Amino acid sequence: MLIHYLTVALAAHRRRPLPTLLGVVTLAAGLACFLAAYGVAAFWDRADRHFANAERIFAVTSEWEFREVRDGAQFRTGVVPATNPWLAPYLRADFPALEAVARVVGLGPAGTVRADGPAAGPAVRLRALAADAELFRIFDLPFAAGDGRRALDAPGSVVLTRNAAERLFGHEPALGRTVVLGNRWEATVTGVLHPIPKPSHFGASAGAPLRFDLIASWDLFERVSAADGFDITRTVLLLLGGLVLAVACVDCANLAAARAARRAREVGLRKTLGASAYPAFLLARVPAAAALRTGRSRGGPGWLSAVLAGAQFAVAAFLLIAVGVVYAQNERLARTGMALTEAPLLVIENDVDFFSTFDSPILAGRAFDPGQMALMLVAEFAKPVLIANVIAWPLAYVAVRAYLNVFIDPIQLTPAPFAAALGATLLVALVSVAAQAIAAARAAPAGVLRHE
Amino acid sequence: MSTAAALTPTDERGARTLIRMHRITKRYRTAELETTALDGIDLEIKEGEFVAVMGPSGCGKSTLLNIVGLIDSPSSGEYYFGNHEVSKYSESRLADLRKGNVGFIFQSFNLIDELDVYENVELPLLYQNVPKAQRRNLVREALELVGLSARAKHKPEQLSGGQQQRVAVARAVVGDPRLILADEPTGNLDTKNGEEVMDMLNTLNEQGTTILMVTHSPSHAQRAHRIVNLLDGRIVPPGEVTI
Repeated sequence: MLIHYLTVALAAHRRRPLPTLLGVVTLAAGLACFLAAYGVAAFWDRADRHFANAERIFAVTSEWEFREVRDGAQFRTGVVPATNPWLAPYLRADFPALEAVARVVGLGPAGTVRADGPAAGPAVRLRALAADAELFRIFDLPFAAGDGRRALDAPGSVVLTRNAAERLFGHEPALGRTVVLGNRWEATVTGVLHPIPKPSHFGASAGAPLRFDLIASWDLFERVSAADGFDITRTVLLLLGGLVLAVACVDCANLAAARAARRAREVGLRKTLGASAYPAFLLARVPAAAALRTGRSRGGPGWLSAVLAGAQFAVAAFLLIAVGVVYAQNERLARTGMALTEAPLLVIENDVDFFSTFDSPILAGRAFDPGQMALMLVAEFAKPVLIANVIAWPLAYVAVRAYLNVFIDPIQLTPAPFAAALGATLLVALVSVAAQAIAAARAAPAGVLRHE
Repeated sequence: MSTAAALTPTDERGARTLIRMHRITKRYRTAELETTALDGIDLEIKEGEFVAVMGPSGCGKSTLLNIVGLIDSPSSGEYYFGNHEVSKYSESRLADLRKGNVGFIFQSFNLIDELDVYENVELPLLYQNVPKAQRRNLVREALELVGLSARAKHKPEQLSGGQQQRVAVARAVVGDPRLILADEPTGNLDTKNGEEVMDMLNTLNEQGTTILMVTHSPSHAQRAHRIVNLLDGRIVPPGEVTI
């Protein structure tokens, strides 16, 4: 019986390759996202276990709550793997049992590094961190040159990865040489590191939060800390929003594909012939008589899939608005540098039902002229998109207001991102509907009516 | 419902009666209005009978056929299929009873486009868990009966309408059902093909299969033992109306 269903499915896919392709791509994207997320989670779960002190090392996290920031609004960040650097001296004083306390911080603009001296090459861009000297007492990083435990003890020290050392000095020994950070701050190379075993929050693992090519002594951070900017969140958010919109787009086209109605008829027939259970649970609820009578499903599956499609548009609109506002705020921050706190990263899951059906109006089975049909379809599809936007807008408004309240100098919230979200979602619906309308208008009436 | 068998009426009559309906009604309810498709149907069909149902569009013919064929349930009334009082049966119990007992022929053939002729005919046997070797024999016999043995590997779209309906007839008879329901089986066929399908139904009936057929064609209806006329969901007494 299973082989029978597989045969039918394969034959059906051969007959209609485009919907199949869309379905496969959507499913593949979903799977890829899941596997990537799972892989990252599993990878970091094992992180840093190879360090000798792994069981005794702890990261200090923090959770930020902003009360009455503006207009009585409140805001929480949730747990973030970072804290205020001024905590370190208090930890040392209050908990003498702590063997070592080290802070690690990004050096930002000082990451442009060149070798000093007459034969100096061009500056290279390095991922630069600054850390307390005790860091190397906590983590036994694999030193190729230099004193592994005391490398950052002297002010103006830097430790390089072997790769960074080669980029700066070629095959000459780097130990003891002088480098210039950010074209201003001189430092001495006191150590060179072998690659750090993966997985680790340090080193070269992709996405490692403390990925570095260079670690400088803490005093360099204090000297460098001036203007700073950040640009990661917006990239992530843009990607996320784009991805979700793409999924919604593909799914919309998929839903609009009129094959669900065909399937309803087939399922009705199979049930008539004795199928008691059917794999697609949505279609299984179609009464056999009803499906055969009309050639398409009524009730259940139609509204459910409409709600699903609508929910996707709502999520897409929400994300677009959020991304637009976060992006604009980041642009302003990059100009003024007046941040109250770092921007929290928004992560929103989009629950997509790949097996949903859609009670498409295309199979109404009457002969429409193409224009009339397109109008009807557009109206049919614009409605859920509009409703989705009406639902998404207030939610997005509350969310971005809360987000903007965290900043000392928030951007003015304009209708622009909301209008853009509406426009983009409508466009997606329109394009997929247009494709369907063209296909439907091209279909031979005899072919459509044969089953009616 | 588990006591349905115990409530079965007189066995002497029930053994010879395949279908017995008493005051069957069927109402469809939408948000705005309620329509009555069947309004107090009393109908009895004996084993081996060939009954034609006639009536104008929307008189409830197809609804009646669906209820008789156990793919729909009445809103009220009693319905005995053999010894089973099935009016309150759940969908899955109806499906179990339907398997092997009822064969269907539709106006629009309802073949599955992705399956070839052989596979379409085999379908009911798959749901009846018939072993593969036995399936092969039964499908071969059914295809011989309708004269399509040579087309076993063709897809429905490669066949004419008449041939497609013959495939549907083969699919209806392959499980050797007690009852065949035909919903305007000649409605989409030309005269010649229509006559052929009617010949097949007559042959099946002569071999003992009970047939209930909905038709708009008076001449095809004349091939049945008797005609039931439906109007507005009721059976019109013989002689009162001719359509």
